[in-house]
Amino acid sequence: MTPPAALALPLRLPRPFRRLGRTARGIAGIAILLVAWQVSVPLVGLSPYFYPSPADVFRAFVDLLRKGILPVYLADSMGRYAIGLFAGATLGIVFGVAIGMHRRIALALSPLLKFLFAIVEVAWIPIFVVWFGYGIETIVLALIYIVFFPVLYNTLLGVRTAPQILVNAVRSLGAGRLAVLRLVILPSALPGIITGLRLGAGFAFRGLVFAEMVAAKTGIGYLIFDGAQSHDTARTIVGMIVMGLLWLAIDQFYLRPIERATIQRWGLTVDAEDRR
Amino acid sequence: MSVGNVAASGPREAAPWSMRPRHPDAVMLGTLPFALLITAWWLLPHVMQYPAYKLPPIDTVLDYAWESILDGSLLRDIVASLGRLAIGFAIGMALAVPLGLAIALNRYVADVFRPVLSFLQAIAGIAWVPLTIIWFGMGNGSVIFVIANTIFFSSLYNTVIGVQSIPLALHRAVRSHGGRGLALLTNLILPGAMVQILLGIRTSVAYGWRALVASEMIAGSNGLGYMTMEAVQWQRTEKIILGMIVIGILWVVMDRTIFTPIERRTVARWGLLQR
Amino acid sequence: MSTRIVVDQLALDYVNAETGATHRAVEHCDLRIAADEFLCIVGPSGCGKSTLLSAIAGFLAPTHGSILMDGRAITGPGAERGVVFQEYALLPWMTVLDNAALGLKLRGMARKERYAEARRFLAIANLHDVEHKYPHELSGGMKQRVAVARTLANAPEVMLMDEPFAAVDAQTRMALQEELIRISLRSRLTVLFITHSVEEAIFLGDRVAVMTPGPGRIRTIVDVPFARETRTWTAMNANASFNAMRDRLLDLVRQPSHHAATAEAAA
Repeated sequence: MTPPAALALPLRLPRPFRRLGRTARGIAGIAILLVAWQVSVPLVGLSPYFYPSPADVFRAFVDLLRKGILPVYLADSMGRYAIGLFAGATLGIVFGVAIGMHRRIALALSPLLKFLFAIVEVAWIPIFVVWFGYGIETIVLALIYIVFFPVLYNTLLGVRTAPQILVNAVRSLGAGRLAVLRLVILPSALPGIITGLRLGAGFAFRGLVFAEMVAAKTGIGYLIFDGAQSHDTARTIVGMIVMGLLWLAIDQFYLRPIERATIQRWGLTVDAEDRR
Repeated sequence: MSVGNVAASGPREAAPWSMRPRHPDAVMLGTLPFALLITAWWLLPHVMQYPAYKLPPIDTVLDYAWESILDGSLLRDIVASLGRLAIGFAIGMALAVPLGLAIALNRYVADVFRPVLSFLQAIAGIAWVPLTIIWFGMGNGSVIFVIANTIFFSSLYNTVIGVQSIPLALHRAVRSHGGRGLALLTNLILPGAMVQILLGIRTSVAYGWRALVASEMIAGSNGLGYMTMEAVQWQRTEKIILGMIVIGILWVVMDRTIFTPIERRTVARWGLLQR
Repeated sequence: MSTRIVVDQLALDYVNAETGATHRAVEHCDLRIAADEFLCIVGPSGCGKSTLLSAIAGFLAPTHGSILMDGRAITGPGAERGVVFQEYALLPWMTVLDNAALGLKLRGMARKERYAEARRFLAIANLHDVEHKYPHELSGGMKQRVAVARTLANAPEVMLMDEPFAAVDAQTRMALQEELIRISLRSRLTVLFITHSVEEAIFLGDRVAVMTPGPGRIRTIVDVPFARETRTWTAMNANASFNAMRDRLLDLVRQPSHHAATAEAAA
């Protein structure tokens, strides 16, 4: 986010900030937020139900850990997330390749898929609840629905942009349809598939939390929802913070490295933001 | 992959959905899955037994649709939802653009805000709902907060990218003509960032739309999301299905009549080629 | 000398993917490629020479006329017709060795044998110590060496080369041309070589076919008299009859075609 030096406006900040390094400034930002929050609690003068302090939240966090609730909820959430992500991505890849390679399948399915995509995944949750009740089926289905579309779209883009010359080259070396798929189409589509997976993983994480609020009795989303319902607002905030940290960790330690690995190794480039 | 199209050159079609030149069977093939689904829906009660609330027959849904159009309740829900989306959008943009400019233009602001903002962004808008119910109660306040939150983060990103994509050469050119301070902002930075901001609106509203439906389900007192989720309790599945279809159609209509033209006009006016 | 490939009254259409409009690239084209000969087709850009090669490779179906190989119509690409592309067309996700061994792998040859075979051809193509690199780590000239090795290793009956040296720098191009002569001396090859450079065509070919545009057809075919053993750039540049032949063919390539000439006269 650093602008070219010449673009920086001569906006003056208090001197202590300017002396700090970049990381330190970032930490300072978070610290200011926390301190302002803590200091504002007595000033606002509301009950912890309306406005818990950081200290309350920390106590709730320790309590949730000690009672073993948080680890169980985390495991439940991650289990649902992994299943939904895997199944949705698999379906997205299969459909993406089929649609990308067969014109008639593309013509037949694209209007329906466009319409289904317009019915956003959250709108499906009520009917999933009617069909499958409150529980893992509803949540996983919603996740599959969320992950399916970005993976499908980006796989399709990858398949359609697989270089025709490489297809010709391997066919001239004696490759049949399946070998073309394995040797050229799938590897060409891989950066797209990974971009789709990364986008889908982001959407699905939000979807997971929402689905758990509505249709689960465990999990991070449920923790956020239930905390407020049972007048333990600090728990809700613990849930929100855990959610934020969890996503940052997933993105940093799983999604980015996977993306980097394929792209760098083959000298390919893909612009994640353009492929949305 | 057919033998016929290999010698064809030129840039590949941009949108993978679009099929040009138009295939003669496109309409026939494209309507086939819809026809199959509707037929299956119509036939299902005749071939297997299941409680009617799981999937009401088509005519029940159509009857309900007609009824809710006549008594104005469907229109009221649509207007309520779209109104919230508009207000949430306005608030989100009004906060995101100035902050985005400040972050893009000043290193210190960027360094201080970045970790806080990326953390807050990781907390999805919808996760705020239980808290906003406590603060604002059920209804408009909570829902609008979530939409504004969602649109804020998406637009913030676009604003920052927009400013940073202004070529340094342009910046120097404006400066060398004496532009600085406010003049620099109004003549270069705002219009320069505007392209990206306008192009980002569609994505932002798409996120906002999801946030709207989701938050209405939990914290709404009317609107499309509320309508579908409330129907679950009363097992009024025809209401759920109608809500889903309306949600789908509304997005397609908004996309076609508002966002696609904005994109096209932005691209045409600024002479940009979108990928 | 037996005939390998017969092109008879061939017409090829080119479909523009954007507009859907068709354009006649090649018309009334006749050509015979003999076994073990090195045939070069030279012509200005847009004369349809690469389209003709695509059709012989089987990437493109004839609109009219026929292409026969050993008496049978060509219906699609096949391993008996190896292609070397101007853009190299190496798979970016495979190492040099895997790329070179690809055709053998597709035939089901065991890993050990196909690697041994591929290494032999990498050596012939003057490639050493790069077998574990990926294509994007190589220079253009090296990439094309790998592509040639890949095609040679697959032992095609006919090798189709589509302006293979057009994208490399001049120094490298001359080296590659001399290497190709050397390779064609040690193993009998049937080659169809497309180029827009008259010099290259004469330097490499046993025969040179001149193609004219609008739509493309073979205008004339000349025999190249120089013994392959004597073909180095030093020798050829000093050879007066080489230069004379080059000037004569350049004139032919530059002259507007019969069709274009009549069109101009009519206008």
